Amino acid sequence: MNKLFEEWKDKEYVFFDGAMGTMLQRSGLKLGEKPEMLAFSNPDVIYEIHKMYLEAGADIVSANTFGANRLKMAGAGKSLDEIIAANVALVKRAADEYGAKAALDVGSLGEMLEPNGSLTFEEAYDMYKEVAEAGEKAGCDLILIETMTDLYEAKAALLAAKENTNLPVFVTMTFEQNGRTFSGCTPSAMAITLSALGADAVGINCSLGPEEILPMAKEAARHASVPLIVQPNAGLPDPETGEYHVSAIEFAESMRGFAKIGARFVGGCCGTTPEYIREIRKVFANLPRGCAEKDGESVVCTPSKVVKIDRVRVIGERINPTGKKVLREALKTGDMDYILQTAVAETEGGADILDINVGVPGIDEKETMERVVKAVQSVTDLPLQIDSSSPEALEAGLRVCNGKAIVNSVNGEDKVLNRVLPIVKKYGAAVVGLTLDENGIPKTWQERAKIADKILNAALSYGIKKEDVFIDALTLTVSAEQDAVYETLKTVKYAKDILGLKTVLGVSNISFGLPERGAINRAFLTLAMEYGLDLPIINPNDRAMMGAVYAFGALSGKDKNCDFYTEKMANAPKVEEKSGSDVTIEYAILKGLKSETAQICEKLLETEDELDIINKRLIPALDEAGEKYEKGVFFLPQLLNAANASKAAFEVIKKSIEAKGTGGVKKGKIIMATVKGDIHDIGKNIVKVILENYGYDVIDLGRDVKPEVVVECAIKEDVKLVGLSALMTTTLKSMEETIALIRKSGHECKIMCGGAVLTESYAMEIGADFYAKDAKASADIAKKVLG
Amino acid sequence: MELLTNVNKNEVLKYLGYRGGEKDGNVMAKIDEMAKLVIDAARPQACHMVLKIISHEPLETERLGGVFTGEDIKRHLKECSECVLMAATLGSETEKLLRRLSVTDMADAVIFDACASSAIENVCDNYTREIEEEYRKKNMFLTERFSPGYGDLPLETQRFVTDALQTEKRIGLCLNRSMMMQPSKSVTAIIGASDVPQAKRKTPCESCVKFEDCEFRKRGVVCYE
Repeated sequence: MNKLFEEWKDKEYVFFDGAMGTMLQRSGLKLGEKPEMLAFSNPDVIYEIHKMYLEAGADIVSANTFGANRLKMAGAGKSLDEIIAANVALVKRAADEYGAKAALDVGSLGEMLEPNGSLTFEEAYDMYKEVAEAGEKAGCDLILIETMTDLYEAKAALLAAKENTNLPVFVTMTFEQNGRTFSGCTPSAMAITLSALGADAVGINCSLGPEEILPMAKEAARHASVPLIVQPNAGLPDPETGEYHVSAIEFAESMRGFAKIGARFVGGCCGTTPEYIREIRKVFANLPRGCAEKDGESVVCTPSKVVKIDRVRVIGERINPTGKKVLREALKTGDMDYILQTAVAETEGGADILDINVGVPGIDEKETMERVVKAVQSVTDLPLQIDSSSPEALEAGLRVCNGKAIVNSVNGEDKVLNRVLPIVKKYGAAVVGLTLDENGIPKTWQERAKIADKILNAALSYGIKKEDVFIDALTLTVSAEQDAVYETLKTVKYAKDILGLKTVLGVSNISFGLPERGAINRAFLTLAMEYGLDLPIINPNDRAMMGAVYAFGALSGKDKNCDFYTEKMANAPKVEEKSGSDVTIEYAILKGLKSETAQICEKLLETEDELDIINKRLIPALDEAGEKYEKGVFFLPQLLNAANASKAAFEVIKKSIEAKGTGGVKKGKIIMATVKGDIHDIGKNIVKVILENYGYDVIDLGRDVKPEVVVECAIKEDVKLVGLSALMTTTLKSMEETIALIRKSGHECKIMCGGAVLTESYAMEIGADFYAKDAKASADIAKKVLG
Repeated sequence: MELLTNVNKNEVLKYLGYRGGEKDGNVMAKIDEMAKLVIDAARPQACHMVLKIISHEPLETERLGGVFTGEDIKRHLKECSECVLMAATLGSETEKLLRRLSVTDMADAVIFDACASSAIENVCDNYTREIEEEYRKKNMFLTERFSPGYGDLPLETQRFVTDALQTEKRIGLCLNRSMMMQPSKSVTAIIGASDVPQAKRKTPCESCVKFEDCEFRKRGVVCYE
């Protein structure tokens, strides 16, 4: 137990102070003035406020450092270290007089983190590191990270404080009336993620009044494995005046509810004053502390989705390059599109968790894992399973993962357990243990059970909770080892019934080498579920496999009234009827009919050559769509639909060419990027769709792209046309810098620029070769440059 | 108050560059679908505060002083005794959906984006109407919304508005170092309040009954100038 908690061990409750802002406003803080700077201009005010809270009975007072970070203190006239030191000195002086503790108060940075904003997780971490280090140096006793709305930012702050100081770290977030933070985080996701990450206490501050917060705090307490903090506002603010109306006595009375659910730390936020703390102390003086209901279930989560493993949950297997050529290529070239499309398809297919494996020889797996995890969690809210045999890649994935993930995997080898389990513990993940070791996969279930025992004990010894250990009994191929099937199933049963652990299996291994693999897969899946399989790793876009999962729920009685089964299977998508196809491919493209276009293309391939179809049919049809768009006959969605339809034909042609092995249809590479500082990428994406459908190989570097990344890629891939996009006047500067850096590198290429605020003359002025006023224009430029 | 009540289809068509050509039935159905998606996903929030105008030349308000610079805002507030600072956002849920749609279908994404742009205008209209009704009781009239970046009011003014309103805390609206609002479907504005009726701009095209087959619009001009 750390020193502070040791000191507090006889205290039923530990009391925080109330609002600083409210007190400062009362003493005349001007609108727009930085409160932190009062430590220089009017230090006595701050010191007096701390003293009033101590006088009222606070055990912990928080420094006036809420906005003290590099971003918010820019232009303040003092260094961040000075600002923190001055404010901490005041709180320390006051706290020392009362034998109380001083907390470094840490608020949000004021800019949104990726993917909603442009601040990267790593940048946020660095900024919090500065704050935490300065706070410890100045002599704080603990760090209170509070009023967080983004779980990802809270994670960056918590990691920065934990990794760079020796202080206890408390984290609280603020929720809205709908029970979520502005960024969509739920109290349970907060409690699960932050307590697993090693916060010393977690909870809720600000938000609303005590009564409104109570149900949210209950939800948080149910999932928190560390003490709970609650610091509510003094009710809801008056929409007109911004004043709070719950009186100190009412406030203290309604705080009782938190004692019942076991809150250890209590205090106030906006609108509360020393009087409120005094009243809370009175009410809490002889109040026994209750205990939260816990359900102890295995859970994983993202900020907006908690997945309880209380029934069969499907882990999507498709983001794994083993045996998938297209994905392997995508990972090698860094093309995120295919990966993201797969992630979205799996999500929409009904997966509960997504496995992420990026192991391709010859790539930097650690860096790729980090990038893929970030990208995938920007388009899905499903929890992730980080899958790698490289501990470095596992750690990189866990570090940037927003929520509580699963690690796939460890096995019974000591050196693997001792290397990977500390990482699992540090990042608060669950872990899959494979029942094999240095001697391979044991033949009998009894031997595999021994390995499962060993893995569980090792995990427990590292402080990993039992409910976070999942056992994979290993599926072998029935055509090769027929006897092994029941050994696997019996191991599942052992792990589930005897050890009381959740179980995982990669299912489709079972059917290698047999015809109609689906039949074997489904039967094995059903058997395994009956033996206790919780987490099948399967293709969630395989309707029959998903049907088996839903059917098992209904048959086993877990799915009450078969509701879930009915919901999932009643609206099964019907197979599209083949159209009579008396329409031409040109007509289908112009009308944006995707499946018709693909079908007609397949027919055409019987009589026409691939390149003829592209050059004589697809491209003229696209040109016509482009002309119609230019003349205002078509508007943007129609142009894009036409592009999407022709893309469907391109896919058919690509497959046909691949089958014949006669070489690609690529007409040249084009880099597309939204410049640094700019996170609007819709314009760039539109251009990309059009260019791709003219057969160009578009390397999409995404948004907020640093100039050096563009240059590096242009050189490495020998790209002759670079497209840059910027939407804001403020980011045109980055466009100019990017162009300058490309020119400076000496790489021979043409540059086209576009974006809402860009004009032709400005584009020329900053050194672009072409100005693309819209997507059609960019296709014309590409034709000119690349043919 | 219901902040988001409607996505104006004509406005969406305008954002999509529709100039009165062939109107594809599939696209029209898509607009309905995406508009519904926006309305369901959006978590609209808005806040405001009132500041008295202390001086018109130079322009100064109580509490903020002379942060609103340039000739255009001065003209905008010429007859006003106070001004309302407001901010509104659709929240980050629609951004998440847009990211997802950008992966699956760009045509859907473009339509969704246009619907979201129309939705934030609707939020601002509804919110402003509420404020306006309060002012009407006092026999006062509001000007149009005037946003940082309009005319010669510097975009950087945005920072004063978001700081004064504490938008990060109150409605989850942040400003990054490039003065970009996050979530991106957000608006900040300054509205004047005056004792005399304020001229509003002409009815925008998208609310006109002739919108769909207006000959002026097809030629890229407007009827009222």
